[in-house]
Amino acid sequence: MSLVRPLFERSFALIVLGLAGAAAVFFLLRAAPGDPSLTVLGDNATPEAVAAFRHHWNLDRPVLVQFWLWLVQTLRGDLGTSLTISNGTSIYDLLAARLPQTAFIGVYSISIAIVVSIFAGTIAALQRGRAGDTVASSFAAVGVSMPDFWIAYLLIYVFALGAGWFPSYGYTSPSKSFIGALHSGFLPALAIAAPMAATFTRILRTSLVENLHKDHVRAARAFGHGWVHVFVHHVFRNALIPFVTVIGLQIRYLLGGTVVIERIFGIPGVGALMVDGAFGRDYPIVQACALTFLLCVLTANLIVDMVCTGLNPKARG
Amino acid sequence: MTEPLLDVEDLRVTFGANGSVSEVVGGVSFSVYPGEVLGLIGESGSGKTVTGLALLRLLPEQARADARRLRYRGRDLSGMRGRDFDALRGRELAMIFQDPVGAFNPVKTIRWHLAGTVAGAREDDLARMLDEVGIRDPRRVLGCYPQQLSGGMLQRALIAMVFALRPALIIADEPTTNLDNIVEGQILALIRTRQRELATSLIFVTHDLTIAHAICDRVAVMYAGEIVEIGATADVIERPRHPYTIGLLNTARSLERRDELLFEIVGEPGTRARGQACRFSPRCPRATPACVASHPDLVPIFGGVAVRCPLHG
Amino acid sequence: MRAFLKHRLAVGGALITLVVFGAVALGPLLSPYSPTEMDFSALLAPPSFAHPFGTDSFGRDVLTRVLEGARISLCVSLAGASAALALGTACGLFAAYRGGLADSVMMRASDLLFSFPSFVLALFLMVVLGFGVTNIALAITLVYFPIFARLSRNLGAVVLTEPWVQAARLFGQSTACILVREILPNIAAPLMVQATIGVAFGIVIEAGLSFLGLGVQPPTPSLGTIMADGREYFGPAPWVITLTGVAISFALLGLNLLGDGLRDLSDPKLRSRP
Repeated sequence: MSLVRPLFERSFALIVLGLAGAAAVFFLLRAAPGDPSLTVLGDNATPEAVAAFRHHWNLDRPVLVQFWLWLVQTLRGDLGTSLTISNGTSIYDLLAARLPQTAFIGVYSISIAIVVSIFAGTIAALQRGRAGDTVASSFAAVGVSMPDFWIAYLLIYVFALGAGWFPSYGYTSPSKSFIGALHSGFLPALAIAAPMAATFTRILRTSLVENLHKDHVRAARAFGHGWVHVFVHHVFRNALIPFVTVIGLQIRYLLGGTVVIERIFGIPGVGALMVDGAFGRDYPIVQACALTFLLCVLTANLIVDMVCTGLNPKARG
Repeated sequence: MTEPLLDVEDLRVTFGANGSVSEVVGGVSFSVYPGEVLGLIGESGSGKTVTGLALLRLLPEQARADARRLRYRGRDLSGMRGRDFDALRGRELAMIFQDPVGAFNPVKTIRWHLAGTVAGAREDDLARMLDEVGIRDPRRVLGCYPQQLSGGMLQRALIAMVFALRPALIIADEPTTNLDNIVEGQILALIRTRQRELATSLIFVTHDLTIAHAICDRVAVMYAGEIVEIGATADVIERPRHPYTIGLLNTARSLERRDELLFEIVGEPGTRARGQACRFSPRCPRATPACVASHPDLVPIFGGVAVRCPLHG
Repeated sequence: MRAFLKHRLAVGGALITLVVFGAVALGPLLSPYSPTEMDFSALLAPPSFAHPFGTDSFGRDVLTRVLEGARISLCVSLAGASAALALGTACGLFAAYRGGLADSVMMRASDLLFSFPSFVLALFLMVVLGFGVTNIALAITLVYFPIFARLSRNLGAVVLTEPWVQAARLFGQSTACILVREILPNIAAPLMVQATIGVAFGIVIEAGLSFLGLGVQPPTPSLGTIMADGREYFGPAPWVITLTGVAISFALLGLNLLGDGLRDLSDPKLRSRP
């Protein structure tokens, strides 16, 4: 199978980048001004307490040793415990509980964006130059210009406080009730999805229009194929590659968006955890969250890469 | 006299919008009979390709085509609904394109393309289709993508697809222009053989008179969007009448046999006179004041030959 | 220049951006209120002629605060984006010119930075550096550095292969000279487009950070902190958040249209070769 080799290469790159990212995160944090022991114990802590704290957290060892210890520990799955939260709950447990929520919102969000943009992009391309195109393209231009947390508040105002169709705060986990999760997660997902849908729509429209004028479309028509067949197999199919590529690029934005949106809607996800950690100067938590996000992006990129390679015969052997 | 398969009268094609409109094909009329090969000859800008595209409704958006009469097997084509015309295309009317590479979808295999033209075909049938057009190792080619094959191979595959449809009329738009000479000869022979086997009518668009001489039963010479001479190949080529035809012939002969040029066509291709004058007059070495005074009509002279030139009728 | 004026989107974007800049620069001078002046008789007043954006829970005129906050947001964002542009382009061109190991290392490092979600990276940097205005600018710089580095490296690599650059090298022009005189002008356009977009998103990042409380610290107004204020009483007084958001979106729209317009204009397919 000609896809195996690219998969290998890219997985290897993922591991390397992951490790490099971990190192970057680790060293950057260690370089931060301020002593976490003072932040946690308070300014009036006794020197013995500080020393004990530092010894407990290996802060008195050389930095490289610290890194090695931490790396080994992490790879074994032990991410350490939080400095501040909940009397030393294992960070791993915290993340394990929170990652599914973020993942759910993320997937929900990108699904909405993809579906909406396929509709809008197709209409805009087929109606090129006419009313439908202007409407869709204007929405797209405006949608990119609105910060997602503001869109969140607009949505809350109209649909939650105003119409009362959706909750403005709080979140039902999908493991408890899938329908409940879809309901409570709709506004947050939509807030993140809106700017993404705008970008996707523009790219898809441009791509579709470009493909509509290709020679092989004309040839297919000459062979008697109907518009539906031609559109699906010759226009849309060929536009998928740039479309999927853009989706991949937006994953970074998607994950960043969850940070603020989770705070606004009170969703217990990784983003909210990172913000809490940031306030409390809880380095292990911030570190772990940053790494989690990094790994999510790298994995998503890998998947998108493989899909693109699969779609594009020119990229294979 | 048999009924013509295709009857075209006064076909016009204009390009452009918002004020700047140019007429690319202006009043072209001809008929194609069952089983015959009609050549459309002309240089670039003569409107020959556009004529072919117009007949199959494959013109780009900014083009407008209409004709006083456009009949296929007695049925009116201009007024036909899109859906009905789609049914004709690919079943009775087909096209062989100039650029074979562009005619294939780069993300789909050759097998996919072939299977799309023949419903319910099995792998063996598809392989046989490719074999019949002279492609060696057809099974390997079936699994290839278009960019992995040469122009010659793709054109053969395209021809296989077109003839598999068993159409009544094929428009071949300069199918060998982009190919090198050796392959060109093979492709031409292939087209001619299949055409004779299936008794398909063929409109062969080309700028090359030698090819036309070899393949076509009748030829129509086009200049600046009009037919300037039309008749049986033998008649037109042995005894050309229109100055443009003579010039074309001389260029072709001089390339072949290095004869002295009897006369040469000067000026840029596509130069045309405006308004009421013979469109070729600016470049015509035999132009007279009568040529500039009014636009000449296509006038039958004898035995099926018609010429658009005041010097001849 | 004339082509620019003909392009409606670009002109529209430029106009909006100019209006925004103008309002931000002149606003504090024209406004009768000060951003910190509290009027306890008009708490949470809805938009009116006296207070076009209404007042917040301290009786402060929201419009004045928005203008002041916008000034800070814009400054931070411009500073961050410009630094990213300068640093990124310098490194990218250096990598393109040197090639080989320096190129690989620089691009890998830049890819690594780019693999973090922008906002997450910015948040992380705020934890490392501490909160505050200058640090936000630094964070924006680091977040956008990879984009400029990679873009200028790719563009530069292409231009380096052009014959006139080879000629310049043969004539003995110094590296710096070549980079500045031959290469920069040719890659300036896409970089400016990216810079425009960078400023726009810089505003969003700053607003987001401040909104969370991790950016600009109160009482300094910033678009994000104003929105954070308005959050608590969003139900009864939605205009604070809503209108601040409108202001942000307006500025972003202007910048985005301008960027789009610049991109269309510099598209080589549309440009006619002399």
